[in-house]
Amino acid sequence: MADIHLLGLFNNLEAAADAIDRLHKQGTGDEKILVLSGSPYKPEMLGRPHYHGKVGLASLGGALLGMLLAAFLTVGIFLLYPLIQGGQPLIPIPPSLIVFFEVIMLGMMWAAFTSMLVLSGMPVFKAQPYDPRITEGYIGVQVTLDEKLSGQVEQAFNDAGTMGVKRQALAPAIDLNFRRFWGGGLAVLTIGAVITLLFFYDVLKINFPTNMNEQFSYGYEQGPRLAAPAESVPVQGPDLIAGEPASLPVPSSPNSLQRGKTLFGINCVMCHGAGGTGNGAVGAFFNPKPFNLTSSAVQNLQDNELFLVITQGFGVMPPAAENLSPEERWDVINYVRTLKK
Amino acid sequence: MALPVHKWTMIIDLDRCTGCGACVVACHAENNVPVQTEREITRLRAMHWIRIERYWQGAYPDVQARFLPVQCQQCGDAPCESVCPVYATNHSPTENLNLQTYNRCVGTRYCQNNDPYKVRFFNFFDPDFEDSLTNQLNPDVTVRTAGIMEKCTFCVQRIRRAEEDALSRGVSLKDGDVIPACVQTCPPGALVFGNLNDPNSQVAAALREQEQRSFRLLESLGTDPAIYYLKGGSSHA
Amino acid sequence: MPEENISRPSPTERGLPYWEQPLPEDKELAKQETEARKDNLLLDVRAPADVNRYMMDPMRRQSRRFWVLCVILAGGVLMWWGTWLYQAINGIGVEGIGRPVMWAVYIVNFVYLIGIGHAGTFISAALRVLKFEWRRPISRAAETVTLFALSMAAVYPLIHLGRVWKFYWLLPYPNQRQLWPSYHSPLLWDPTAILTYFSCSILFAYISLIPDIAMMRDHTTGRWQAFYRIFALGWRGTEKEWAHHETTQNVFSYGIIPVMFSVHTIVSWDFSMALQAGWHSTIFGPYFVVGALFSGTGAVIIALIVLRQTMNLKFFLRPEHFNGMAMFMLVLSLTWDYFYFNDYMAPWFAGAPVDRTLNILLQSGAYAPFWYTMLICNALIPALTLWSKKIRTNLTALFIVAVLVQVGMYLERIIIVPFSLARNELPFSWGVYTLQAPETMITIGTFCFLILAYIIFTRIFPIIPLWEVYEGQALHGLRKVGHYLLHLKSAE
Repeated sequence: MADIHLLGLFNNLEAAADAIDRLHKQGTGDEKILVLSGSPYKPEMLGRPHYHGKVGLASLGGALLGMLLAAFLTVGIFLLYPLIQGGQPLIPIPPSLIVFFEVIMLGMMWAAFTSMLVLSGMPVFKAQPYDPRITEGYIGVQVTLDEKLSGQVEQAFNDAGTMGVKRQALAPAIDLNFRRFWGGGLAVLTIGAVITLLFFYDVLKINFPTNMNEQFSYGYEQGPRLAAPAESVPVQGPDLIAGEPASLPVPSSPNSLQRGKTLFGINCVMCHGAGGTGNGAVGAFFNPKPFNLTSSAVQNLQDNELFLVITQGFGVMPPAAENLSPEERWDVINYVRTLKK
Repeated sequence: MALPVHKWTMIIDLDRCTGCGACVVACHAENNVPVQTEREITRLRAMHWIRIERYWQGAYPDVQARFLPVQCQQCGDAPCESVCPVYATNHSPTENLNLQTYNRCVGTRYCQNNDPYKVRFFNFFDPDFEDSLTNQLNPDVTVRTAGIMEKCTFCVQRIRRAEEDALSRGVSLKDGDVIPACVQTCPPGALVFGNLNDPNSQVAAALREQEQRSFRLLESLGTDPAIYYLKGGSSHA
Repeated sequence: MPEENISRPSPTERGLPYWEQPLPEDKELAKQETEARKDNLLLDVRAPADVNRYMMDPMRRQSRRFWVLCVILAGGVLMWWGTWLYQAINGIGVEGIGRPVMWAVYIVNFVYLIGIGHAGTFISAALRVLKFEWRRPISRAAETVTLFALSMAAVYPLIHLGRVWKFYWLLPYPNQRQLWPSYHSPLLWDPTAILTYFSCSILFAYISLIPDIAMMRDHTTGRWQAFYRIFALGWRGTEKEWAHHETTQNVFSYGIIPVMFSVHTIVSWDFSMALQAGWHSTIFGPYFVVGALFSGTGAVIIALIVLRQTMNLKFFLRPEHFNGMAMFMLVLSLTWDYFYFNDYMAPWFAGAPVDRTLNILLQSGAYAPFWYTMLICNALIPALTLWSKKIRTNLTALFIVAVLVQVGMYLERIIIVPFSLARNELPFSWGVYTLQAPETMITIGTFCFLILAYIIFTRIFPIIPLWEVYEGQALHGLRKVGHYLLHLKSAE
């Protein structure tokens, strides 16, 4: 015959202890007996053996795990990201100790909680023998035994003064809602953790506009550059003041003209054209068109003004300051002077 | 080619400082520092990376004004660095600079609380540059948005540019290659900038010759600032 | 206490239930026992079925007053969220801070709320370790204050951030850019400690709740029962479950006490690690812990008084409990006086110019009213009133004293945070702090959330730890010594 559970309810401690004594006399071992109560009683009060739980040990294990995590957070991160802050050593000991303490305690307590659940088998998915009166102060004595012996156990319970006996088969129903809730919760957490990691490692990306990605300022080679107003204060030094002699102008030697022609070909021809007339391939796309460098308007400008235009750009023309050193710019100006023919 | 160790130092000669404030304006222009409205200034949110502190000395009619330009002292042992939880501010040992990474700052503002010179500034709102004023912005320096701390960097963009230029030409930096905006603008030449490790630099020479005049701000706090002040005036105040 | 509703099961052949023990036959001793039962919850033994009813009846039906309060508080919470969104979109500038006062009301609230949380842990953990039996009915109410106060405290570092949408950079998460936060900074020790404290408080409260959720599961039906069944985790009360439960509670009690001390010490290190005048004091650690316990005890007293009156918990919450809490608050007030005097005395004596300036500001300057009010509320009033047992057990007087203590401790944090920041070594950088509307609205909103969450919690879960009351009542007793009945405490 099958095994069943029998649950006897008692409303005082003495009766429950008496029932357990009778069960012992009948030969039921302690491992088949289980006591349920609404508030904690010591097993010795009921003649039961002391139970040694492993929660304390698990807490120590958790403390150890906490220590490893703390070692990573302090020593690990300081070594992975070796930035110096505030005159402190790379691995400062007092802050590390603080983190060690906190995370060790965290590990210890979380491990205690988890082990409490795991060791008690909670959440309990299978319906177990139970009576709501247990949370009203009654004590339940549960016996797991062969159905044949149930008669004598019930007799023992009645002799001890039970308030009622319940039966339950050993293959109980599984509480599906319960399992769905906790199983579903765990699944959600796992999936959430995986998706979060995918975001952290840029496998999944959402292109938010980042805060300082687009700047208001105008970068180099970025137009449009407006002409300075007529009476504005010059930008920087005597070099670039129209009408003032420039410092370090390069004399117009054959070497300079040769260099100037080469540089002109690299930097200027695409817009101003090979003869400097403004018919370059790229210049065709602009409105207004690039200046005709052979025109009297350009040739009548002072050297400094040409220097200013090349350095800072003008209108759509980008500044060439990055590409040409000041000497090279003078070389180009010398060459441009020869274009007026 | 590894960069040599520069100990960037600034000397501020209080005898020459006239309190004109040109350095303040230059810094605003070079570093894209927004100018605050009058209302914000009354709420203690003026943003001047370098400010001229003006103190009155003496009683009428013998009142004298004393000017003290104060900017980030680029401390060797900066108290502001160790309190940043995201490493937005940290130390560059090869340059003795206190670095600020704008995009990493989350805006806890602890660095300003721990800074004894109170030279750090917080962007309480997004900066408002009117349309044509954006032409004046320096493309080398990020314009900061709301929630970010900023401070004087010794024009680190100019330091980098000078280093890159020197590297590309295969020479080492000379004294005078790097000029922060305030130093460049100062009309009486009260601000001098250079590498203290270079014995031939102006700053090293100034400190050698004017040692009895030199002092550092709040030195007893142990912050090891990189800015030396030279006492000015007949009273060496 | 409805005497006539006590159920008396028919006597069994052997023994009586522990709640059925009759009064002694001697008239004198019977009178003593009746008196003892009135004063002492653990001697006033009732059937657990009745105790359950005393707890569940106020949870079942809510008055219109309750729902109106919920709606008002929910409005406060919406005000908080709206203001926070407004602040996040427009910038921190809508606050009243400036240079040099960069931290103000949000940090004050943060410190205050964490402070309140400490008393809950102290009552549920430390008093348990010290075997103070009068903590039995009050531990969960206190622990719940901790939980919701901490949850709101955890929000304030986010509210005060300049770029709150980047808050996750403060967490050590593995990422492709290999960026990590800096554990040099007290602002990272803070979340570590608070995470430990908060998560362990939640777990601690839940562990204690499980047997009571099982009770609710057994006494409700329908959807509520499904809810309780899920969270009871199938608890039956077997020896194994109780043994693990007790060990876990021990680990938590012993573990969370040093964590509690460390949490507010670490919060105090946000200040004492700075070079700021008024902050850079080595005594901040224990000073803050004591202040936290002090204000927290006051907050728990307020919560208990309100609970007792509105949920009719007169059976559970007796004058002995308020007496104990009030004595504790008096001891803490005196300890706070000691630490504050220490903190004040050292800079006063050394007389550094910046400390002297700060002292003048507080004693005779613009902030003097705040300073004197703080001293009166924290030092003077508890010392003058809580000596008397009559005041300690008079709930109205105790409520007023506890509220004044809250005011005093809040002012203490205000003096420490924005007022001290207003003075530093360079006079050109002195400032002033002016409160603005967003800060007020967010403060009120978060406190509304705290209260709303708390009162909803009390209607869902029993706010008195019933199983602890059963345990206490089952294992306590009276012993006859001569003509006197002696209260026998349970020995373990």
